[in-house]
Amino acid sequence: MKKFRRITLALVLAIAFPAWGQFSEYAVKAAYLFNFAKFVQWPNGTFNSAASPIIIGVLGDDPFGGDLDRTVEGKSVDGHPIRIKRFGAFDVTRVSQLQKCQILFISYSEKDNITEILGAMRGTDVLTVSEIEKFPNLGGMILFDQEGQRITLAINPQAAKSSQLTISSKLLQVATIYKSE
Amino acid sequence: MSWFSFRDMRLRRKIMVITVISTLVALVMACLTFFLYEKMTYPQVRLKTLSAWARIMGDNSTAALTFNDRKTAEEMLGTLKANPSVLSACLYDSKGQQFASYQRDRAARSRYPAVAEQAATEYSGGSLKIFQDIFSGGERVGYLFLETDTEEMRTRLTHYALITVLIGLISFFISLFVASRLQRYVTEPLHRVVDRMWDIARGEWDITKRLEVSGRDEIGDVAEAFNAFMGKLQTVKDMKSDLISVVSHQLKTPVAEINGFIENMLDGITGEVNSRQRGYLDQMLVIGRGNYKLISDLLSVSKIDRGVVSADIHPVSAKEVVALTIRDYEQIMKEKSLILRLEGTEEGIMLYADRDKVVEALRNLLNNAIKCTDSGSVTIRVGSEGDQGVIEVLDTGIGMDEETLGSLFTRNRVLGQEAHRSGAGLGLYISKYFMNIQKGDLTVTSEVGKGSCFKLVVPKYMKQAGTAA
Repeated sequence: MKKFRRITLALVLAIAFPAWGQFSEYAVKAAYLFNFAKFVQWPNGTFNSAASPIIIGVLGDDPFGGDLDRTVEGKSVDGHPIRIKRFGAFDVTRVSQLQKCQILFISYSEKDNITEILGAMRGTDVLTVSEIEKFPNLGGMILFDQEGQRITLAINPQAAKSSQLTISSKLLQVATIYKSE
Repeated sequence: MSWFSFRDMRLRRKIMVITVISTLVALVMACLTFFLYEKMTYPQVRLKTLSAWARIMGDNSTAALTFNDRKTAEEMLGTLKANPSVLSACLYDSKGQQFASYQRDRAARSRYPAVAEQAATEYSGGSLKIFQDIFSGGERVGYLFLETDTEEMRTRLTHYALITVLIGLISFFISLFVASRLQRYVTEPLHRVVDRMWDIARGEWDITKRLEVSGRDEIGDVAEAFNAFMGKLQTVKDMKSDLISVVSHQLKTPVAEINGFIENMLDGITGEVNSRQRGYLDQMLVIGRGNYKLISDLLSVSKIDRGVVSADIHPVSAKEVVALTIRDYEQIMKEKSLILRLEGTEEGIMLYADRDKVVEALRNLLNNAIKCTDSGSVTIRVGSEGDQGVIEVLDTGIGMDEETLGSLFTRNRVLGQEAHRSGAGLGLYISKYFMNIQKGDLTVTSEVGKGSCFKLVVPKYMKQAGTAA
């Protein structure tokens, strides 16, 4: 029985997703963004209830197209459904809105505002993710990096820790660790 | 004694064999049970362990699978080196594509089963295979395949066998040692009983002896049964003694009277006796005296048996003793042309003894000496050795061989073939007994064809001490 189930599953998977290589860069990044939720633990009090949604915010231009929505559609992590919120360009007046996210993806378009954004997010329990160079050095938490064809991760655990976020050691294991001096 | 003939083994060894065999049987059974139990349960235990390993490995690889990090995945699988029984491992992504792998022996096969074709667990061909789904946050992120050999199980079973043999050897020696100690509690009382039985059996008819009953076990039963048997025997013997005693008493006086009448007739009290009558009367007197002697001896023996013989000890001169002894024999010796020599009778040696019993012993010796000597002489020699007086009776008769000497003073001889020459043969037994109860002794040396020397020893009378030495 189990064997049969696995065959079916393998077939379904093969039809639904062709090889990784055929995915676009942002489809992969969208998946990663969603998966961070599995490896990060937010402090007590972040969620009002067990069914409160995990909000993934996208700040600046959205590079994912529809990939992010497709990725998280109908999915949940530990009972928390996933919501996507798009914020457009950084606006100081909307900082309180940003702070309500659990994961905040800072688009490359916000490169010039990065210091200001990170300053606004400091001390809040928001996991900051970006593809802006030197992101961890600036106090960001997770950077999407590239190593040949492969998308890699660079993490600043110190920054996460000061925001009371616990990043799983398993995630740290697969990432380059940035250590602040 | 053959090792295999269990029936003929000494009890000591039987007990040891039984103990050792039962110890070994118990041990072998116990080890066999453990062995089988291990063989039966080991695959399950092994599977559980492997499952646990797979779950841990799978859980640890969720991030690597999720974030497509082959290097970390390979590193993680590499930690399987710590468990040398793991032959190979393979990590698949959620679509069943091979993601990372591990091989204990680099040269071994590099093909891993496809996710679809492998059952969850499989135990075959000396290897145990397991497939484990990997979940992360409720989503399947991949699969893990692990394969271990069963070398460990074989090693364990081999060790079991070795330990069994080792413990078997050790317990063999321990049980041998313990058995050799413990068997004494059975065999030693038994040996004691058997030894005492033989003592009694060889003993001079002393059936008043009894075995000590050492315990309430079967050996005690044997001793008790033997004692009961001896009791019966004693009853029979007592009856015999009583019978002899009564009959002898009843016969002794009539025989003595007949002898007296014959002597009177020979002395001519009843008138002239012609030579023919004298011949008959002489014969009758010889027979009568023989009977009288036999009856006296039987009476003495029955007294000895009943333990009612006592010695009446007084100072007495050796000269008097010898004189009383030879009184009735001078005539007979003259008739046989034997020379009687007396030596040392004039030295005034005083004995401290029962005169009548010493005389009876000496008369027995003299009587025997005369019977056994057809020509030559009989010598009675009086002397002393330290505080012992010695009276020897030497003859130049036929002598005796070693075998005869060995049983000379026993009364068992009565029924033997020697009886023909020496009457009832009880004389020497009685003589020796009479000497022993007055702290004396009777011994003999002899040589076939040259003659015998009987040596009678009794304490000398010590004037200064006033008592016997």
